[in-house]
Amino acid sequence: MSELLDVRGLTVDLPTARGWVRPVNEVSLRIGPGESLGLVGESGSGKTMMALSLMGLLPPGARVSGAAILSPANSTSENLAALDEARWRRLRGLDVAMIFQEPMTSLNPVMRVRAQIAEAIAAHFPNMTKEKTNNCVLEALRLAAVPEPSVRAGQFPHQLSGGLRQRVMIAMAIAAGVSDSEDEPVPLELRKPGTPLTKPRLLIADEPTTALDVTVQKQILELLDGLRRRLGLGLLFITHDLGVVARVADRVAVMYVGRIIEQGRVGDVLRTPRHPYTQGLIAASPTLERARLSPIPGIVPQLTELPPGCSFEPRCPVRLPECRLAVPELRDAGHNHAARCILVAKEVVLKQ
Amino acid sequence: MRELSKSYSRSGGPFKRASAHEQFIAVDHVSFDVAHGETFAIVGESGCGKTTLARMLLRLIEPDGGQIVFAGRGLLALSAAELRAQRREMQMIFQDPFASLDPRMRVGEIVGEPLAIHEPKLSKAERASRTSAILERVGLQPDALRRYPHEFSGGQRQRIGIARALILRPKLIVADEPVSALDVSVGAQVLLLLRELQSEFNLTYVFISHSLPVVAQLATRIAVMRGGKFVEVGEAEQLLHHPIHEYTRELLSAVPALPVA
Repeated sequence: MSELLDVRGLTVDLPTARGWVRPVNEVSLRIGPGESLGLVGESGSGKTMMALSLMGLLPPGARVSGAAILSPANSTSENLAALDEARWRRLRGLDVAMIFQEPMTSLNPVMRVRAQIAEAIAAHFPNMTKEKTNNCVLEALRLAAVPEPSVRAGQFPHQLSGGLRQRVMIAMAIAAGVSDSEDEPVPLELRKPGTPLTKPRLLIADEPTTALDVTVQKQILELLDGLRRRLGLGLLFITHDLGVVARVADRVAVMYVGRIIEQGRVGDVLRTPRHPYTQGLIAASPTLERARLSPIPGIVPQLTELPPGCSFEPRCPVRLPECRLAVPELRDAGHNHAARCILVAKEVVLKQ
Repeated sequence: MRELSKSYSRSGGPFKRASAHEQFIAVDHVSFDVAHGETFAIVGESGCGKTTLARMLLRLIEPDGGQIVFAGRGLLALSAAELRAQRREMQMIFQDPFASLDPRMRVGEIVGEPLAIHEPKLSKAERASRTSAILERVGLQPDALRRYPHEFSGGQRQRIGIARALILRPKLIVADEPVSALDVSVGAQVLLLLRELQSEFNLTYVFISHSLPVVAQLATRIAVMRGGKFVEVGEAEQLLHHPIHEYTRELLSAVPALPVA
C-alpha cells in the first residue's frame, strides 16, 4: 500500500543569533492513509518545528532539505519540503491542516466563530456564495461535534470553553474539505450525505489536548479518532504525554534534540522500549500507581551545545565510551521497531 | 507533636459576574483539616475553584466567610502586620515558573528577599550564605545567585521558586500546580525534590493539581473538587482504587493509561 506521507531525511536549519542550528535532523517517518502516528518529545526535541515544516509555516530564513512526499490517492504527489509559498497557499488548510495547542491564541478574539471558519473556506473557494459558505461552516461544526452549531457560530472565542475552542479549531481544519469527486472539488454541504471527505489528507495536531481538562481531552481524542476513520485522513499527533499517545496512535516516533531515536508500534515501544531515553521517559511519567518515579538526570542540551556523538550520552544510565564517538544509526530492534542506540546493534551481534 | 497545620476553611468567595445581581460562587462552604506532615491534595478540573481556594488559604484572596485556623491561630482575624509575620510559616509555590519570578531581580535577591523582609537584622553575608545553601539544596549551582531568571530553564526556575518558599523554614507549603507547566522528566525531578524536602524540612503540603497521576505520587489524602465543593475526600490509596463518587470515577477513567510490559 502506498504511503500517504513519506518523509525522508527531512532537515531544517535555522539562522539564530548564535549561528545556524538544526532543530530537525534527518527525520524519516511514514504515515499511511487513515493511520495515526504519534510524535513524542519534550521541549527542544524539534517536534513542533517538524510539524511546522509540514505546513510550510517555518520562520523566515529557514532552510529545508530532504523530502516529505504527500501522495493522496487519485491525486498528484507533492513534496512538502520543496513547495513555494504560492503552492502552499493552495495546499495549506485544504490538503494539509493543523490544529494547535492553545486555541485561544490561534483563534482571532475579535471575530465570531462563523467568520473565522468562513475565512478558512474562502481562502480556497473565493467565489462561494454566503449561503453556501454558511452551510459549510455549520457542517464543519457538526462534524466537530459542536453542540448547537448555529448558536456557537455566532459567538466569540472567549465565550467558549477550552474544549469547544478546540473543536472550533478542528472545524476550521476540515471546513474547506471536499467530497469525493473526480472533476470539480465539491464543498462540504453539497456532498451526498455519507460520502467521505477526501480532504484534508493529513491532519497535524500539535499538543491539542495539553491545555485541556482530562475529561475534555478524552472527548477530543475520541473526536479525532472518529474523524480519522470517517474521513480516512492521516493523523500526525504531537504530544509529550505517553498516556495520550498510547490512546491515540497506532505507531509512535520519539524525538530527542532533532532526531528520531525510536519508532515502532505504540504497544511495542511503550512496553519494550529499546532506547534509554524512551525508557527514561516512561519511568518519569506519573501514573495512578504510586510506583517509583525516576526522573532522567540532567537537562536537554541546547542545539548550539550538542555533545559529541550520541546526543543523549551525557544523561544516559547505560552509556559506553564509544557512545561519544559518533551518532548511532537507527537500527532494527524487532518487527517494525527501530532505535538509535548502539546497544541495539550489540544485541543483534550477540545473538549471532 | 501538636496538630500543626489545622487549616479549617469554611465558606468562600462569590465573584460577581457582569450582571450585578448574578453571583458566581467560586468556593462554596469548603471545610477540611490538614494534619501536620501530610500532603493534602486538591484535584479538579478548570473552573472548579481549587486555585481560588489555594489563594484563600494564604489570604492572597480574602474569603467572604468561614475561618482558617493555622496552628491554633485564626488567620482571618489577623491585622496586616500580624499576617505578615504569620506568612513566615506558610508559603506558596506557583504554577508558572516564568511569571512567578521578577525578571529584573537576580536570583540571589529573589530567594533572599523573604529574609530581607522577615529577618532584617541578618548581615548581608549571613543572608548570602543562607541563600546559597538553600539554592544548593534544591539542586542549583551557587553561581545562580548572580544570574537572572530568564537564564534558567522552566524546571530550574521552579526550583528557584521552591528555594524562595523554603528559605524561611515554613511549616506549610501550598503548591499550586507546581509541575503542570514542565516537561515530563523535569516534572519528575521536581516531584521527587518536593518529596525529599518534605521529610527533611518537616513540611506539610497542600497540593493543587488537575492531574490525578501527579497527585498520586505525593498525596496522603485527596479531595476531589467540582463546582466550588469537595465531592469526595479520602486516603489516597482508597480514593484512587476504590472511588465512591461518580465524578471521581469519571476523572479516573479519563486518565489515558500507559501500557505496562
